[in-house]
Amino acid sequence: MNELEIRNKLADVLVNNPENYSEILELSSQLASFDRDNVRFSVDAGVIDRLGKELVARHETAVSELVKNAYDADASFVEIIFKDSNNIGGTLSLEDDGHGMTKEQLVNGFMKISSSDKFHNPISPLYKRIRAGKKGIGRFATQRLGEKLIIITQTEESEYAIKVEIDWGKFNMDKNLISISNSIIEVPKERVKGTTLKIEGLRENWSVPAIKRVFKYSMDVIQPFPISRQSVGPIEEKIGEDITDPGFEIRCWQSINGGLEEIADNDTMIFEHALAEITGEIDNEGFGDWEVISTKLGLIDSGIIGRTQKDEKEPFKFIRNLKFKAYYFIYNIGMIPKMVTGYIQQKANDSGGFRLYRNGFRVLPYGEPQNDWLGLDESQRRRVILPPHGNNSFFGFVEITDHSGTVFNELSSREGLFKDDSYDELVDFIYRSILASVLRIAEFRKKKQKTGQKNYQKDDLSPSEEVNKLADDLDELANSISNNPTESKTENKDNESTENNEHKKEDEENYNNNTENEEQSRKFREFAEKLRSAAESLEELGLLRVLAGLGLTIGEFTHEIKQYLPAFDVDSEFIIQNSPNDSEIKNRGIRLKQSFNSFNTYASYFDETISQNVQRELIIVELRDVVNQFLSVIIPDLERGSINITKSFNDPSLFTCKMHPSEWASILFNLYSNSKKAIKRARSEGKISINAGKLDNIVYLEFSDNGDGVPDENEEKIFNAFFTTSSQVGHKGTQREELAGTGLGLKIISDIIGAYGGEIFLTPSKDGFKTTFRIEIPAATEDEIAKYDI
Amino acid sequence: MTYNIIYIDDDQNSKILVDGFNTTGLLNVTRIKPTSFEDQINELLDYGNTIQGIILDLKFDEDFSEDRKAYYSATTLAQQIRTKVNEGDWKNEIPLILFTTQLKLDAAFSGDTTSKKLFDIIFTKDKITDISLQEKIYSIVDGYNLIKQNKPNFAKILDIDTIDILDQRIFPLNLLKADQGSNIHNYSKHILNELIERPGPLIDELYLAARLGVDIGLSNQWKDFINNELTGVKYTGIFNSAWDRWWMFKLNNWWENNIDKNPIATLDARDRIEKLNSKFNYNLVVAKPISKATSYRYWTICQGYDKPLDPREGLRINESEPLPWQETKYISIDAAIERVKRKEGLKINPIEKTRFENILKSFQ
Repeated sequence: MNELEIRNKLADVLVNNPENYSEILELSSQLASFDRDNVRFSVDAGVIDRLGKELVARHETAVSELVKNAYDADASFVEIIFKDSNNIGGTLSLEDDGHGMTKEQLVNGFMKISSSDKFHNPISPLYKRIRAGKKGIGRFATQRLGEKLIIITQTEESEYAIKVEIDWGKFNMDKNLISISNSIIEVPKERVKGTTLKIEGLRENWSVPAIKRVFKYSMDVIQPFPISRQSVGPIEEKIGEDITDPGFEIRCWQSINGGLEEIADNDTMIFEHALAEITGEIDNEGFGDWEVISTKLGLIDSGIIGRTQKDEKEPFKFIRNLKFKAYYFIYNIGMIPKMVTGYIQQKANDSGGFRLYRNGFRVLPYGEPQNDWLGLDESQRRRVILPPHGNNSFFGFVEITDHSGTVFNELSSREGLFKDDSYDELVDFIYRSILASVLRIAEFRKKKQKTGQKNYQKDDLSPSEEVNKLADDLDELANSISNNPTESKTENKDNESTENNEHKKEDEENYNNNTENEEQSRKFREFAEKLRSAAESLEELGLLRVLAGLGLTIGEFTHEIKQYLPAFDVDSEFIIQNSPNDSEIKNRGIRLKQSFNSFNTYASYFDETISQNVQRELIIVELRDVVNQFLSVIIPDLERGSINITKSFNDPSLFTCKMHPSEWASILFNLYSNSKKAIKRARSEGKISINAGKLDNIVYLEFSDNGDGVPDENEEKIFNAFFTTSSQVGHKGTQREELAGTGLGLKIISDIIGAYGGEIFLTPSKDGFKTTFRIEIPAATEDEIAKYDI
Repeated sequence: MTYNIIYIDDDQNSKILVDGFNTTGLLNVTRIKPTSFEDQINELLDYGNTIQGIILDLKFDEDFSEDRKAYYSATTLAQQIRTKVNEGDWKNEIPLILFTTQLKLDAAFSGDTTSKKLFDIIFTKDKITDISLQEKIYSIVDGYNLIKQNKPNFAKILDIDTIDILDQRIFPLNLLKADQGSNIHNYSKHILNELIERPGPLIDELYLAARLGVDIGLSNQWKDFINNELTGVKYTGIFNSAWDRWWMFKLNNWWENNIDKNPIATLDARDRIEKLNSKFNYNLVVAKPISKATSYRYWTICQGYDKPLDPREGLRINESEPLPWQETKYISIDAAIERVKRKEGLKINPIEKTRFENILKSFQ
């Protein structure tokens, strides 16, 4: 169309079809291109797809960006539901109770690319949170995740919710971005306020570990404490008041074929790993007690706390009706899986301690960073009491029920409680309860170690037999406890119990004892089960020792063998030099020399790797160094197996945290031999790709192959000890291969990586590859790089 | 002529290495097992001028299986030989070659390198089948003879008309005047280490290609070109049989007399090659800049990739400080990022640290 035609058409549309805004926009922008005096930028719709891919590399981080957006919107929770997402094409929804958006905010914020809201307002309006989301990433994250986005959002004041549907499929290249319209309608409100994002047609399948990673990647906004109640009333009234942040909670659900299963929340991701749960209570007469339960240690104990240490039975004078609960963590003693230690410890360092709630409302500043109101950090520093009990060992909360407001007086400035006698008693009660529990736990752990050693010498059993025997003992104990009147009619029909039966109708106290006993024996049986699984770990340790011994022998071998190498070299060279050109002898000589060279490279690599172990100091490791060294060794092997290998490094500086360089040899060789097996099974033309890079403060390495892949159901199992696919039926492995397939390879790698707070997991492969292991490990700090390397 | 060399090593397997040394007919190496210190010195003295060099393993005290036992190392023996030469007891001054494994070498000289200077050259045992090892030993023995006949005449030793055209700091006074400390070893060591093995007045083939702007790998006629056209530039002095070098001042003269009145250094490599190809009938190919570099004004090479590089686009490497007449060595930015030859110890110079960090930031 020429300029005149466009003008006419536009005039026509404006008169006859004034509602067709898309057409008007399109024609107007076409018309503007005839402007002889000015030129304008235009935006291709394909930019959305490109930005989505470039800004949000991974689907887990895409979801965690959306979680952070909810946090930034002053939400107190976000529910994440993955529906039928075990296959590509599922649906993901995120519901929060944040402030929501008005139509204007939606249009000028979410729908405006490169909007400046977060830039201008780095602090959230209501709870003054430091906004965690990256600027302007949210919409691209939704595009990155699925084909279609539905937003339903409502503010507290609005009468309706607004609903927008965006079909990312329409954003094709060669289309003008502004001409693509997205429907917006008003719908009834879903709740008082908040936003729901529904992403349909997910581009990836979501495994359980991937969902858990969403939780972990969102760790910096998660607060593992109960949500505080919020005062009711319009926002305008609240803004003047200094409003307390209620906290923020994430719950991840998975729904497959209609069922709903919780995958990740504070309980499963954090509290489950606590060494012990400590609770305490002051009743309405001022009597105090504490209880500690540790399923990990097999410890249940309790005690009472009185007003003075002299007489623990004396009730407190002022305080009434309060409870506390704390999850207790000790790091680096092997009680928390290494994979999770990193993020829990980091969270605890940031926000560990005890928060205080009064009638459900959080009271500040108790439990804020640097606030040591119970004196735990100070006490830890004094080092009179040695077991860890600083604020970062706890996620704890104190709940005061005081509806009349007579016991505790809040300061008029709302900066905490008035430091009166009640307050002093409160601090005293909690501090002493915590110390009593912590000491009890420490004592119990010590005793356990001692008795373990004694028995070991006496009975001369293997450690795992020893533990199994203890488990049996515990079962017996459980039986003998529950071997009482109420139990007897179900199981025991022997004389003793019939005798007991006669006492059945004794007083009620007896009955109470029975239920208590039953509870105890149930716990004992539970511990016995835990012991049996511990015995399995011991067996694994046993095999590790065998392998370590073998490793030393192989080390000795690769070292000793070097003295024979010059003979190969000199003699094969002699054959080459002294045989007629093109003769079979000369060809054989050349082949001998080539094989010898590969052999020599292998031997030197392992010799060096093993001699690195002599030096115990950990150093930062550049991934290029270990990958290049590894490749130089395996290239002859690859050529023989006709496997094609490629590498790429995506950042100029790829230093890991301090590690042992030889550990990378173990990691890379293990992954490589797994890949080789998978390629062999797939009977494909082998391809391996190593790709390393850096994201914020982690460095990653992805190891991909085009083998036969890992079935979904094994995605997590492969990292377990003794899990192996090597001896599956139908696969004719040689004996040597079976020996190599102890099923410990990935377990060892994952232990190595976990020990540094890193992680290894399966991640979707790029085109042409089937399996990709991704290793993430903390990056070296700038100080470390400066210290170790230039 | 074949030179007779004594090889002292306590290891039984060293017999195999002897076979490795004797493949070209340049050397006739005989292995002896070391014995007690005094006996060993006397034994070597007794050989007189029937031997032209000694190869020494670093450790003599690892195999006590036979009658001959030694409780010292090669450095001790080498020091005593050098002392005897100085005192005049040892008339037949001959080269000492250290021959050991990389591992032992690193361990022996990690703390103190003074005793390293006792040896004319050091080889690691894994290089045994490299023919250049025999050629270099042969060339050093030849060089000893040349120095013996001509010292202190450096022009004769270097086979040039006069040394006046060279930086005079190259020639230490004691060597010019054959004063104290002017044993053959001192001449040999100085010329080999400071003139032949580091770029400066003499350059090797990679530097030669960089100065002319040639990609050696892509230029089939490169060898023909240097053999036919650059014979006058070629270094013909001491050690030339094992070390191929060219005189930089002769290259400049040749260029100005035959190719162009503008000095090479002022021209872009594409111009240099165009002028060469139009002057002669060769098809030399211009070297492309290394990744992340853009300049064609090559003068040095990247020590990581061994490819031509404009020093302004390179980072200085961590090496012992060059002497005034020696050239600084560089690594390209790409090779520094990719940590090429890192295992071999190639690193950037600490003074380049900030600059390198800024460059890295500019890539992010």
